[in-house]
Amino acid sequence: MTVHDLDEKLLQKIIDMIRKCARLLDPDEPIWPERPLREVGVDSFGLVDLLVMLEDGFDIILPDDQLTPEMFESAATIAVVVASAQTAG
Amino acid sequence: MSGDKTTIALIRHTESRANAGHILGGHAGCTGLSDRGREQARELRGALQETGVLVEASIAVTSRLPRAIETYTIISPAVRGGRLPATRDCGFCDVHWGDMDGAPEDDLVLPATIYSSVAPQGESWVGFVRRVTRALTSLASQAAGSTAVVVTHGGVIKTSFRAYGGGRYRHTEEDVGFGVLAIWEKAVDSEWTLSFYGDSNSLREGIHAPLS
Repeated sequence: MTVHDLDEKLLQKIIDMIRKCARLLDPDEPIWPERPLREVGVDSFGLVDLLVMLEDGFDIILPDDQLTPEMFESAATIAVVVASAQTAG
Repeated sequence: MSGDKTTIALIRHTESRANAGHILGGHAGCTGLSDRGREQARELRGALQETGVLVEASIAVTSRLPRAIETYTIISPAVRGGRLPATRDCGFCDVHWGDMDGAPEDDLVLPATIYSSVAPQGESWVGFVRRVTRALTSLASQAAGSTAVVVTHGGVIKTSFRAYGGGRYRHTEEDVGFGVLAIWEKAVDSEWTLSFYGDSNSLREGIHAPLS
């Protein structure tokens, strides 16, 4: 699966979750699918908050070996992993 | 400490033999408290009895590690008059060291990233914080309107500053001393508040370390 195959609703839901974890982000500041998480101020604890939110929100469990810097690069990269987990589940 | 308010008291175990010997003490490597650790636990029990802060506790939990279980055994007379046995929950355990469990601390090579496991079969920082966050969140639901006490580990208490404190407290980067007590309180429809943070001496003297 690539970014181009992703469902827009899925992406938007993930972007909304990222916004909740980017505590210092201005509410008007845009988050687009490829925007790096480090640019929007998600710190390491924020990443874990996001991980728990993703697992609860999409009813999935992400194995430790799937948790990588590449997965948490952006909303789009997260969405690819979430969509795969949903398909596998 | 009951009714509309939820209280969660997190206590770091006192000094263990693994701590004293600079050993990574996980499920295999932890062999319980040192003599000094037992004395620290008795000190803490005295302070808890004098102040009565855990007399109304209705839930007691420890990690699965012997140093936490032994600390609770020593302080338990100060918890609900000694009538509250503790359950064990691995959600409150220290980092899972995997193949490094029981090895000297000096042999530990720091992981490359927060996603990297500390050792084969071990846990990453992200995995550890996820596990602990889930345990803390679950306990908060279970203890709603009552008081819970957990004997656990420094990393768990650090994680509580994010899970309960939401980043409003700046303690996260500091070390948590042996026998330190962190009391979190939450009224209905309110945020968590750190109502006490300190050791047995601070508890006796009524000194609350403000960390926000």
